Amino acid sequence: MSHEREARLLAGIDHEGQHDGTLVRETEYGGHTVRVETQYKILVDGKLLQPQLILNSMGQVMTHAMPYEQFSSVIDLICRLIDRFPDEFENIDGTRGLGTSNGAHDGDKS
Amino acid sequence: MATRVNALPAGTALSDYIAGVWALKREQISANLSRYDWYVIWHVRAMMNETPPNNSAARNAAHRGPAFLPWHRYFLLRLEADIRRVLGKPTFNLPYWAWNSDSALLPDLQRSAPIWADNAMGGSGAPVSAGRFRFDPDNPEDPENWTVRVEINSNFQLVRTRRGLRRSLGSELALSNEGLDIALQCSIYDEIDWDHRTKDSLRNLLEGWVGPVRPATHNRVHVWISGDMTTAHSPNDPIFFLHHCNVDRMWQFWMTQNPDAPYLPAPAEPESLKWHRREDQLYTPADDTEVAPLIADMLVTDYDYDTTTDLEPFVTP
Repeated sequence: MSHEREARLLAGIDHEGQHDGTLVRETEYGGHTVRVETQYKILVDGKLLQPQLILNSMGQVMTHAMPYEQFSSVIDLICRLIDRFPDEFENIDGTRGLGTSNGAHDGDKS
Repeated sequence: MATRVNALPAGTALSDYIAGVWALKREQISANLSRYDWYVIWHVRAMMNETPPNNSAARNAAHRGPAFLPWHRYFLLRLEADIRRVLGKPTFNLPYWAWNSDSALLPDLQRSAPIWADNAMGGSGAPVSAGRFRFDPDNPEDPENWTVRVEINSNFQLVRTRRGLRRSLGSELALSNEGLDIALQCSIYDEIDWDHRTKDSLRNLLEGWVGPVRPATHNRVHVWISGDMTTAHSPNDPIFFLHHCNVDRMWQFWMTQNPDAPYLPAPAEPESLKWHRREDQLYTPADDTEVAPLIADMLVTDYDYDTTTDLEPFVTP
C-alpha cells in the first residue's frame, strides 16, 4: 500500500458532514418545516473543542467518537469526553488517566 | 457446518484466537499499519459514513440502524477468514464471550470473571499491564507489547498513536441482562424510524438504545469494559470480536425462534436508508479488495453455535 493510499485511508474522507458546531433539529408539522439550529462553542481550559455533536429530535446529544452512549446534556457529554480521551486533557495535578465523570447517560438508572 | 464455541474455559479456541489476532497485528499492510489496524479503521470509517449524511438520528453504515447486525456479522467473518489464513488453520472458528453469563454475577465477580484472567484476555489497566495484550510503557519497543497504532481523537479524526490498550472494567456501571428478554422476545427485526428511537425492534433492543436500562445489552458491554471499548476505535481491543460474536449468537438464536420474521427494511424503501436495505451492499472501506456482499447474504450462515441453551430462559415466559 502506498503512503498516499495509507493517508487516504486515515483521512476519514467519507465524512462530509457539517462540523462548525451547529446542531440542527428538523421536523415537519402541519405542512410546515420546522428547523432549529443551535450553535455551540465549547472550550475546555480555554482550548476550543470541536467534537462532532449530533442532537436528535428527542433532545439527546451524542458524538460518533463515543458511539455507544448518548447524553441528556452537552455538559455531560463533554465531561465524559474528557474521561474517554485522557491524552488530550491533562488533569490539574499533571496526571492523565481514566476519570470518574458524573456525566449521566440518558435514562440510565444504574 | 462449522461450529463457533464459547471462549471459556480457556482452551484451543481462545488460544488460537489470541495467536490469530497477534499474527494480524504483526502482518504489515504498509509501513505504519497492520492488517489488524485495518479492521479498526474500517469500523471507524463505517461510523463516519452517516446514512443519510448529517441525519439527526446519527445513523451510520453500521450502527444505530438495521444494518447493525449484518454488518458486524460480515466484520466477524472477514476477521475469522484472515485468522484462518495467517494461522494456516482452515478449521479455526471465532469463539464468543458469553457476557450474558457474567452479567448474572455480582459486580465484583464480573470484574474478576475468567475471561479477564491473565491466560485469557487480561484485565483492567491504562495501559493493560498483564496477559497477552499488555503494554510496558517503560519498554515501548518490546515486541510483546500490544500496541494501539490508530485511534480517533475527541474531534472524531483518525490519528496515529503508539500506546497500550486501556480498560477499566466495571468502573462506571455493572453488566446487566436487563432488556435482553425484551429483545429476544421481540418478533420484529426492525421498523420505522429505523434508528435509535425504534421501540419494538430486535436490532435496536439488542444494540442497546432502548430498554429498561440505558445503555443496555450490546452498548452496555462496551461501556462496562470502558477505556478503548467506549470509542469508535473499539476494535483495538481484541475483546471486541468476542463480544460481537456473542451478539451474533443472540441474533442467530432469535432467527431460529422467529423463522418467518423478515429482515427489514425491504429493498423498496427510500434511498435515505442506503446501506441498510435488504439488497444493499454492506459498507467496506474504499481500499478493500473484496466485493462486499449484500445484507441478504448475511441472513444465511454456514456456521452454527455450540449452544444457545443459556439464552432460552430469556424467551421463556
